[in-house]
Amino acid sequence: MARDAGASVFAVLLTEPMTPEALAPVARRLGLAGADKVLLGEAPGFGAPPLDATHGPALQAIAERIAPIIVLFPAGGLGAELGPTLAMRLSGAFAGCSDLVVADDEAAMPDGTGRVVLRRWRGSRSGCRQLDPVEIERPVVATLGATGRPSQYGDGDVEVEIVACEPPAQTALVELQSEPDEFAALELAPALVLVSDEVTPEVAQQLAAAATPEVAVVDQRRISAAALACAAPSVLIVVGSRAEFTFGSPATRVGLVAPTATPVATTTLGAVDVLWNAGPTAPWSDLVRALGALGGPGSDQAPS
Amino acid sequence: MRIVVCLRPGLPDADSRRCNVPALVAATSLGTKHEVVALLPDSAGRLDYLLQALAAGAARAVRLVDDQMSTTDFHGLGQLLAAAVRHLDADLVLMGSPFDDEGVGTMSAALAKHLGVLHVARVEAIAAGSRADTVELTVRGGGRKRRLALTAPAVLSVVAAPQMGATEPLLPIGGVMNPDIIETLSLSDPEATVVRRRTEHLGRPELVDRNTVTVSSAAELVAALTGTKTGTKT
Repeated sequence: MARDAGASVFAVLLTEPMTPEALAPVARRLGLAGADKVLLGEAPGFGAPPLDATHGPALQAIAERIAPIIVLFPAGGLGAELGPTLAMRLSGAFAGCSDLVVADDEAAMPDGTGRVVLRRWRGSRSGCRQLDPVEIERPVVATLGATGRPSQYGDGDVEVEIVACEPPAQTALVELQSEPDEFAALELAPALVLVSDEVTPEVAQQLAAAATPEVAVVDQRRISAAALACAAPSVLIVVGSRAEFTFGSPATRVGLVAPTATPVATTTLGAVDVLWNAGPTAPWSDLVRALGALGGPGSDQAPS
Repeated sequence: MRIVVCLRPGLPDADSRRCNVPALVAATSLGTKHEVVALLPDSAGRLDYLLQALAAGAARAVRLVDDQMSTTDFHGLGQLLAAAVRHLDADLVLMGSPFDDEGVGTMSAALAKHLGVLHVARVEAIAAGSRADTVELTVRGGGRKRRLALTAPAVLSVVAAPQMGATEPLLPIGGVMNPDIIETLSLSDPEATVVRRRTEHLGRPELVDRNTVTVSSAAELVAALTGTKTGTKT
């Protein structure tokens, strides 16, 4: 999209100090993915999970140096943690989980409009909002969904510029305990099955047991809202007619499995693409089998 | 510590359960050593949330009124709330997430910036700390679930823990409560003048026509979602 729009892509990397040998393959991967330049901020402490208190000031310093029109965070919780404060510091707009849309027309754009815009859900999910940073005359900070695939756009030979960053200051935050997040996988899962309390926990377990690596199955009864808020799958299957979901981008394809005796009418559905009125005696084994197809071509690849 | 809980006005009950109740419960659960103040930026005059906050253990309930509150964005509202929080001399501010109508979740960051204090997003649990001016937070990120000790001042955006969501009962309004005990705060201080903008309302709104397709089997469902086959368009 940057090529089509005539824009440059800067990859920003905040990391623990790296040796040139360790940095080279990372930079090459970013170059192959299309970065025109890598801006590297190294300091002890940057390897920890990001918090605004530790990573925010360095990110702001780098962003102010580039003066970007769009700042993109990858899928996951990074954008939710660092994005709003960065948008505040840049006096920009924050778009949350969004899709990038590029104008197809190759002709010159009208004055005051950009070729690349961001599209996000409005709060009520009654519609979307398109944010064009050129039109609104301020940068847009956004998070992308877990929809990408590793692709090669560059030759891997990318310039790396080291940006002087102060190490994270001793802040008022001290880590007391850290353990693996049991819900970490769902933030990056390209396909997500959300099981509501309208079916038994055994159904959720059955579906989870059948899930491929690309599919995360979560039981809404035990999922943390913090974890779920950052999910941005390309395909979402909701099992339950009353289950509510407020995550994902407009491009997320949503399927609803209604396990109710009374069929759900499509007129009552907002952001649902596909409806299966499975009924209370739904053949869950069929859904278990069907989940295997969710990975699709390239399912052995991790999301980019 | 004095803990201010910013309550989001104008929410349907289900959304209030997800946004306001977790923040209020988190604050009041820190114990009686701390003073909890509920703050409602609301010019419309719906005071239920403040009465619920008092019933839940808040020591004070404050309604923030401002003529142009509904026409400002998170940058401006953050500035406005910061003036109110300073006036209340708060050590810690809690608010539910998302706090804004557009669902982008930037209000707490805006408030923290205007107060010049630390901001922590997506706090899942809060417990009393080892000292009177500290609390312990549970957050997720970077594949880790972490417990952090935080020394005030700070602004925290709180999300509902598992088992706390749309089915959580609303906090009861205990007994007969006199609305007169609700304080009103009007920011007429010229220094509190905010730049009225609606950044999150910029851009072009567009309707979404999903054209929901109905299918009759699990295989058709997955095929329609992955674009390999479609069902019956309705």
